[in-house]
Amino acid sequence: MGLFTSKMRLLTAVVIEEKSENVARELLRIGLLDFVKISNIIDTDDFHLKQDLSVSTEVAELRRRLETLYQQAGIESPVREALIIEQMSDFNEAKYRKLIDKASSGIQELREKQKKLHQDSLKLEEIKNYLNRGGFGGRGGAVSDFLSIHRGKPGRGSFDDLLSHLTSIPHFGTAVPGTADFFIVTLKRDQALVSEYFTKYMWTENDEQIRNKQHDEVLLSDINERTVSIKTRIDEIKTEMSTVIIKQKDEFDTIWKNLRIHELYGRIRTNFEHTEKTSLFSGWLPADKSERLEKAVKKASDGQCVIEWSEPEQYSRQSVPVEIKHSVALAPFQMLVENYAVPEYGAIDPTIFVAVSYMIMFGLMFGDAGQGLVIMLIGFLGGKFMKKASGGIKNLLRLFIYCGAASVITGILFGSYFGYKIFPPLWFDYHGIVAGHGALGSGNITNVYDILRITIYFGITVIGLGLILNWINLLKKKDYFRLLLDKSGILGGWFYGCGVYTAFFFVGTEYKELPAPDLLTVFFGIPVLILLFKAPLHFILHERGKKSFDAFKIIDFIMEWIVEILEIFSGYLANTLSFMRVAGLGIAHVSLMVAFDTIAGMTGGGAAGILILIIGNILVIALEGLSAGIQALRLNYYEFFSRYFTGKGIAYNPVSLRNRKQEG
Amino acid sequence: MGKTAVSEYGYINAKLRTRIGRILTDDFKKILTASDDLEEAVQVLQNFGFEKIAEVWNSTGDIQSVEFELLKRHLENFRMVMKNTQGELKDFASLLAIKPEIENIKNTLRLWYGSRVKKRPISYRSAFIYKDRIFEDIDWDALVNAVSQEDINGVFKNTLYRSAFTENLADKAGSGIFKTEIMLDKIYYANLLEQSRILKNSDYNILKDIITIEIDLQNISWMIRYRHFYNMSFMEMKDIMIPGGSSLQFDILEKNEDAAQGSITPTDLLKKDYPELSAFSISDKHNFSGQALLLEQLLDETRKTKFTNLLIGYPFTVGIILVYLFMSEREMKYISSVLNRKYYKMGTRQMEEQG
Repeated sequence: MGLFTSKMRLLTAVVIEEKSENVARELLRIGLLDFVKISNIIDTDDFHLKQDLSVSTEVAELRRRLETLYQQAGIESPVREALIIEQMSDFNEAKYRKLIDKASSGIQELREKQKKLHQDSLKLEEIKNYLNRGGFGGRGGAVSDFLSIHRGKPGRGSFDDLLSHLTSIPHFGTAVPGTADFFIVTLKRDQALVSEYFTKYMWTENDEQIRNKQHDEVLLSDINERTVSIKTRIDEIKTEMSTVIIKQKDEFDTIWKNLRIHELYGRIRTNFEHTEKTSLFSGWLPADKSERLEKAVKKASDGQCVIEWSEPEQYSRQSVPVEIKHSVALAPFQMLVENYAVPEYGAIDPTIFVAVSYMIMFGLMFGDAGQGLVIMLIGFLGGKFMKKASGGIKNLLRLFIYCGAASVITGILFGSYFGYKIFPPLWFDYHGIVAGHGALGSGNITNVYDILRITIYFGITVIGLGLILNWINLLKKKDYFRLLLDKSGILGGWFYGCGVYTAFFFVGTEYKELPAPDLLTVFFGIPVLILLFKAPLHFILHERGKKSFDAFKIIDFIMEWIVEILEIFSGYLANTLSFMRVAGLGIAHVSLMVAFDTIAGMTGGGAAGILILIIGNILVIALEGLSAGIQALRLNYYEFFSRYFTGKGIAYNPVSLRNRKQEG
Repeated sequence: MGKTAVSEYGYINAKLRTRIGRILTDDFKKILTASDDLEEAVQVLQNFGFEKIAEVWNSTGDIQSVEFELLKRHLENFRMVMKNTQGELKDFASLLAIKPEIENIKNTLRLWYGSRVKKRPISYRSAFIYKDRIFEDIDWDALVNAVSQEDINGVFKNTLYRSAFTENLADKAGSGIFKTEIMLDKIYYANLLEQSRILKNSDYNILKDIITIEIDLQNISWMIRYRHFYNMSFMEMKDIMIPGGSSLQFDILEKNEDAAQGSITPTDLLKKDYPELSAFSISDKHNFSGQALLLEQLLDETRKTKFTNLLIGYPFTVGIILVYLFMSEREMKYISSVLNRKYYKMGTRQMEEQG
């Protein structure tokens, strides 16, 4: 783990054509190279290079189709399982396609059945709705506005044959209990079709028989039974669909892995360019791994290769991929950094600073040992029970553990345990100060203003650290102009340092005096004057000859000067005061706990009081925890990162069997 | 103290702007159209927040059920807008809901007409009529099961739409129900423009601006359909055009009635209000439908520009609501169209050809 992003090197290799497949396999096995097109780094016009287009769209298509099958069965593809190059076998497209087609067509057949059953259920539902809407009425025949209920029997052919002709319309038929008659329920709108088949089957309507309540119950019960049976069958079909996939899972897993390996191998091959007898490729990798890769390429090509190494200094920093190396422990904070942006190559890796500042900020805003323990537990239990969760969720759960731990520590320092002072505070009594009932044993922190002062000190430290990190970055980049004259450079730092001194001097004299005028001239007058020359100097050093100089340019310089002065003064002031939110949220947290305690007290204690305290704690953990997490992130992103972090980097993304990132 | 634009639009517009940013993103469209088949497309939908749509497909295997679910989702958006607005703005939002209600009426009438006149049973399809109240209190079951014109008239007698049902639809065996459909559209636009005067002037002007293009688009669409496919005369076309669009030069239609077939083009009709059309070069002046399709695209682009201006302009206007509901409709149609193409196994080229 280093303070800066990993050092990278660029490999350019030429291997004999007949060994190129071996080399590609080895590159995939070793999984270190983030490829760059040869034509992007050297002029290849004279070489007449041909590109390898062996990456097959068919491979990707089959892999995607397989993943769809997995999803249909509700099972995971083997994306989490480790891939090894030895699993790579021939890409037997015909065989794979046949298997996948067979499974797909099996599912397709089931889908057709499912659709048909669903449509039958819709028809039945319509009849059921109208029956419920209109009621059954008294005698047989029409009972609702839209239904026709017939009782009778066919004089020719069977009842089932008659029904089979009515499948295109909503209908329901059943036997009338204890008689030779049948009920047929249809819709009036389909009367023409029904009449046609009634005539054909010589249907005799039994007008004399009264349809009684028992008959109605039988009819409704039969319809319900039929509806349930259709729904059961639909569910069975869903299970059958899963079974089609699950019973072949092992075979599909093997195919999926082979397809995935072929896909990655294809990606490597597309980065190879060819002359008649050689293959060329190029890519970035961490410098400490270059020896290993060189050996591997030489071995795979039986030494028939030429390898050349280039250093990143030869290229623009923004074109060099960035690797950030950390222990797993810092992964949650790396996630926070990467969500903002990837740092520029060669710059300071902010992860460790973010980790420390984030936890301190969270702890100060959410200082309660008991509630912190709950957050830690949520993180631990989540990690234990959500083993299949994505990397992002796992990192979030780990962040819970860290934030919880920070709260436990600050909770002990403030003597707060679920809002109660069970043990005396080790630092100061936050609750006592906010509630206004004394702050014994709190040393020189005795009121809310003292708490605000702590957060201002903290803000000054964070901004100061940001400035120092920026100077280191600029020094490394040899960007001396910005190092000296930028608003986050040494001149900006001078303004900030003097501003802080002046502010404390002013407060120290109870808002009556400022430092001596001579001192103020040195603090601000001279730097402001120096700043006046920044824009002209920049023009002379970087733009002369490229841009014209005229009278308007002088107005530009003056405008830039004024705007920059305003930006420096207002920006630093706002950035520093912004840290008061840390105290604000901390005070709000304590106030909420005090409020819930008071409400619980008003109930006279007992079960109701305990319930209020439990609900209060849950609310505070959920709402205040979220607020503190967001505000800590905001302070890092805007007040801290804005001083030194240039997120212009591109992430190091080697083609590797371990890389779980999926492409289309 | 009267309501300010900020108090009136602050919450709803912030909510809608967030949602607009998530509608039909390039990433979503790219992945959805690239899916190999319907099953894969449904999985894509599931991963982009359309879990309910995927659930419906997985439990029914029926694309019509999926389309119906998309419609319900779209109508839910109207409800959400109405729920989060008050006073005149709420009344206006409910006026916008007349449009999907009219689409629902048309769908129901088509089913009814197919069953009653064309003798094609409705079968299970009445399940795909949206039966909850949208704007008017309509008995949808009575409409789809109507056995006579009186039944239909009865359904609409106390509604905004009664004037569209003066003719006996069952007698229209040859000509279909398109005149009724047109009447319904005319009712929608006339009512919207009339009733929207409750809005502030600035809001009304925004609405008028958007609706004008929408009417132009609708008219062009009909011109393509009826002129090209049914060879309708210009005078007949004049009768069906929706008033309110700023651009169609009806006098040109009249003047050219006696001219030779195809001597009039949509370009001639529209260029007065769309000066950019003067640079519009179409080689085959007589290719009516080709030109009209291009013009439709152009008007669509003009509308997009207006929507973009609304989104980047002053945030507290009715414009955001109009953009959101338009985008919601477009999302529904887009997804529905992609799923249908996958279902009927249309290749990428066919998909491109059909837009």
